Amino acid sequence: MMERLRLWWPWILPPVLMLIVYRHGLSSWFQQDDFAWLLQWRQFNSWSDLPGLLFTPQAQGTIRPWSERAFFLAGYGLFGMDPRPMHALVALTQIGSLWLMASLMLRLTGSRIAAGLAPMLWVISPGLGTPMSWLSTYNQILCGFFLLAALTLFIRAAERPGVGRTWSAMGVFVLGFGALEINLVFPALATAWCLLYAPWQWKRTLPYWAVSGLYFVLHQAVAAKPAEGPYAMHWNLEMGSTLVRYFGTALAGGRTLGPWRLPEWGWAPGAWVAGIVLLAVAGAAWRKGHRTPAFGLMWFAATIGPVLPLRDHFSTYYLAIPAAGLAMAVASLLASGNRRWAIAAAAVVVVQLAFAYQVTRAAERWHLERGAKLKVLFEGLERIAQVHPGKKVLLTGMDTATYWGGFFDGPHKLLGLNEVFIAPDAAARIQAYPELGDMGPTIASRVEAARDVLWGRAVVYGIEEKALRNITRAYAKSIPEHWLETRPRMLNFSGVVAEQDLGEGWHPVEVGARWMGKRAVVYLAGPGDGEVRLRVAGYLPEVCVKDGPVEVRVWAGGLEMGGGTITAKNLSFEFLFASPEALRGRSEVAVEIEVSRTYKEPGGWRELGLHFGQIGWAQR
Amino acid sequence: MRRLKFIYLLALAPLAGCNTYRRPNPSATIEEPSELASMVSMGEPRDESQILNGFGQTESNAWRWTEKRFSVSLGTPLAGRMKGARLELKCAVADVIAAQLLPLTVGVKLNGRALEPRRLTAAGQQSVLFAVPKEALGEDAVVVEFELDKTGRQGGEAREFGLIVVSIGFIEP
Repeated sequence: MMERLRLWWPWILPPVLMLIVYRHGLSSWFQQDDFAWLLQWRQFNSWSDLPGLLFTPQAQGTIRPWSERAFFLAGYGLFGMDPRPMHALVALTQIGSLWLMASLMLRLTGSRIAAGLAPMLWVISPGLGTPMSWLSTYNQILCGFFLLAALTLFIRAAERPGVGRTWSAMGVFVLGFGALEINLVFPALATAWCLLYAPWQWKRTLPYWAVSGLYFVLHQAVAAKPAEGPYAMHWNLEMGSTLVRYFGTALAGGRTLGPWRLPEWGWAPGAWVAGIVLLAVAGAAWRKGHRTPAFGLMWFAATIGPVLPLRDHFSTYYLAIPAAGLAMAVASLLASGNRRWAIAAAAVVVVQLAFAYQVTRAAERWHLERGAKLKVLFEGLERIAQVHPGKKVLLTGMDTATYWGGFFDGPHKLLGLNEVFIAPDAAARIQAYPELGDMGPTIASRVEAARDVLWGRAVVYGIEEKALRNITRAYAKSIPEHWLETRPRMLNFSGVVAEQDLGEGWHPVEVGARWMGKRAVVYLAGPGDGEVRLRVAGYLPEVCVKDGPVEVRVWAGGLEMGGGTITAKNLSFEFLFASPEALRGRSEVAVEIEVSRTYKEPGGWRELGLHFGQIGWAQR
Repeated sequence: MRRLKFIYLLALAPLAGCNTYRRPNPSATIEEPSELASMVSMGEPRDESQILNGFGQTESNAWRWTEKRFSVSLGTPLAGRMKGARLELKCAVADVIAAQLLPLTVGVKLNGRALEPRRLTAAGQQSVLFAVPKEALGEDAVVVEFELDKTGRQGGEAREFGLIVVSIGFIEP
């Protein structure tokens, strides 16, 4: 028994340590982007939808069919709003990676100590804190697995050539692109192994370089390339300082947390010392023929490389895969048999435990707590949908973490609740982050809230620690009368639009929308702070443009705002016009809309112009 | 190869027809004690306690016959207390007794305060609206009493038949 344990501990202890370290993170609930991915399910109406759902480029042009699309489609389809089975898959994948890493280290160093320590050091690295706790970052975990699996198979194929081994390595590598774009760097990892351990095998890497090159070209064709914002790429010397920052963060967390009474920058000296020591000792070891520390550092550089141009999107979880390289480097030094190197590596581990591990723990606890708040919100909304069907929902008491941590992504849409808003004035306690999105559409205006609450069309709930409390009656009594006097700044025709805000030219209301004739008028309040556009949006059936395009002209407060054209290509139309400064703050602005042609209903009397939609001021 | 196909199908098959329904957690919200609705529907069991007298049994889970006099209790909408409201009687004059009823005058009192009566001249479904001043909505609840100037008889039944009512309630002015 002890003999078996001595042989197998590198494959047993790291997974046990992982389950202990991430016991909180692996229990956390859905949050942030998770809801957008879960909402994919609503577009999955038949099997013919599946290819499009899996492979159509989405956010920033990413195509990650396994780690995002299939992961959430299958997770929600099979288990609904229970994240535990999805976390179990995350844990199993990472256990697979830990096993692969142990095997790889045994192969590279011949040491069981290195084989066991490397995955354990990877487990405590700050890069894994978020991916082990937040399901939307499963792409990091799965990509790490594919890279390790492909490298293991590549080395086996190089050591014992065979068609099956060669193609299985290539197959796993190609599948890895379905996890994350960083899979692109695999040829660099394979080349690094060849360079250090088997230089005569370098030609084997050429097909991998070709595949990565092809993928790069294809990805560039579909990926968004924003010129500004967090995802703008900065190909310049600043990439060097970003690399140093990531290296320091991997070693010492990038923040000072834990029991230490140190200033905020207290982690930095530790990171510098650990970094310099590690580089120096790895260099010395290479000169003496110990190549694994150098391989680990090459792994780090190769896998962090693709995110270095993202200067303004520094994320600790981008270290999930590169941290494996540092773990390999440090573990191989600890097990090298050279006392000086081992002591130096132990010092690096002390820094990691003192600083970096605290960040790992904080990340998983933070995700657990944020998820718990979102669970309270979601379950409350689920209950509201049951007991107040068809009612608009206004929320008070929401904090910044809950808002940006999930509410903004629309979890209520999973429940079929489309009208859930932050109550007026309740948004004051939520910090705005314009780079994350426009809060405007999620906040009810005073006039809408007053009308909907006082006429019984809306319910108001306060968010408490463990439940949502119905405060409709108290809220209604607190609404000042002048809220009813004002005009709305946005008319949403999918809900109830008061007749008093409509001027001439409108046909009677229909379910969820309203037709105008040739010319129609609505009355809005003038644009508020940050509302820089007038948004006019709706839909036109194809039959309305069969005789040619429909020209639209819009005036506001007597000023011509501009126009647009509706053809068969933009039947779901949206026109945005710059808000004139002269209208800002006005209590009433008449918005007039006119179309060049109308469609006469067969057998009916109505002249149909446009079908709305929304008319109102917007922040974008 | 067959084994691979089987694993693939096994992995994807449950997606086709699995049930994602979950029962909402009753403790997820803390509700206010119930209050009177400001709109009552004849087919809504929850509103039954607000239907006071002068109505027949619910028909087709949607409507009721009335007698000459009928009444309901309604909660007063808070906005109505500020701005006044309209009282909406969604009803129909049945074709079979239209000749006996029309023209028909509908009178109404709110907590004993009479509103301007309305005169119906056509058969079929209609919405009868009464202007309600805010002074009539000062209380949390009002008793709304309707009175028709005539009723009809049909099919040899002894009882009197008035309007077919679908709902009664306050709406925005």
